[in-house]
Amino acid sequence: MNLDTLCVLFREQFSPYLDGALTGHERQAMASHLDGCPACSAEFNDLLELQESLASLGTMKAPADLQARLRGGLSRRGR
Amino acid sequence: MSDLASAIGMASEEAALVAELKAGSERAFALLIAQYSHTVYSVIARSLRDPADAADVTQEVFVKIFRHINGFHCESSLRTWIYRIALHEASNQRRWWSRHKRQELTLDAHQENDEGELFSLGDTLPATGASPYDSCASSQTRQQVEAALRTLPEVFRTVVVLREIEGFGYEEIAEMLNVNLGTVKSRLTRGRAALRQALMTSVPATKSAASPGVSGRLSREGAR
Repeated sequence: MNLDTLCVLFREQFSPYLDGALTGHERQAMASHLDGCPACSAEFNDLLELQESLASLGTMKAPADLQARLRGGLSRRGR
Repeated sequence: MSDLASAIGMASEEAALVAELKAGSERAFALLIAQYSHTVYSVIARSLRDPADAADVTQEVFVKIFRHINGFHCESSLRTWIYRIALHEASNQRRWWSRHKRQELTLDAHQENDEGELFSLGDTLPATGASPYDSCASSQTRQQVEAALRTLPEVFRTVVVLREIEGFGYEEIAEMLNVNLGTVKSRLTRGRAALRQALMTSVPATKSAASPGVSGRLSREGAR
């Protein structure tokens, strides 16, 4: 198996690795590969940083009167 | 309290809330609105082509919840059921938008993603004339990530938003979307890769403004 094929296999596991869904052995193998492969390490770091950026977006701010509008809408149309 | 006891307590509280909703309690609906309206609004706003429609669609969702609560028999959690309705309504709105509003746009100012949803290339750039707050690096990064999200095909965007921003688990997302677990994982993998690619494509145009963090790293990667 050449390195490129190995890298492809590890990259396919980046997403479950980000989600903590790999087994202990799989995590160990991934960490070891990332230590020795700068290209995979850079790509994984991008995805990790992207995950952190997405989490930091947070819930989108709703209009201040949203709850009042919803209660009013239910009174008019819900019953 | 153990996790099991906590879960039983939550299930019991939810069952009581559902019973009150079915009885038509105004207090229960006010509680439901207080508990879910902002997160439902957020998921819908990120799902629609025009976030300005999100409040109206959120209203439709709560009217549907009110009208159909008697048909809810706890086959899923109340939360999953609510988000299933929300995603369905958002999907209806997107279809309506594609049929009607897109014809009002100047086509040469917009491009389509893989699913025929329109987005403006301007969306992928930070807003000009930004306020002092908006000009800070973290704000630019957020704008770039939000803009890149809008360029993703809806099936990927929805899963990325539910997982990465709203924090739902794979199983709950699968239930909400009525797809199997493998599909959720696959869409998440492809969505993350597509989002990374979208940021790598958009960031070089704003490289002088690129912040440290995801866009800075991605722009360097894009230059390799």
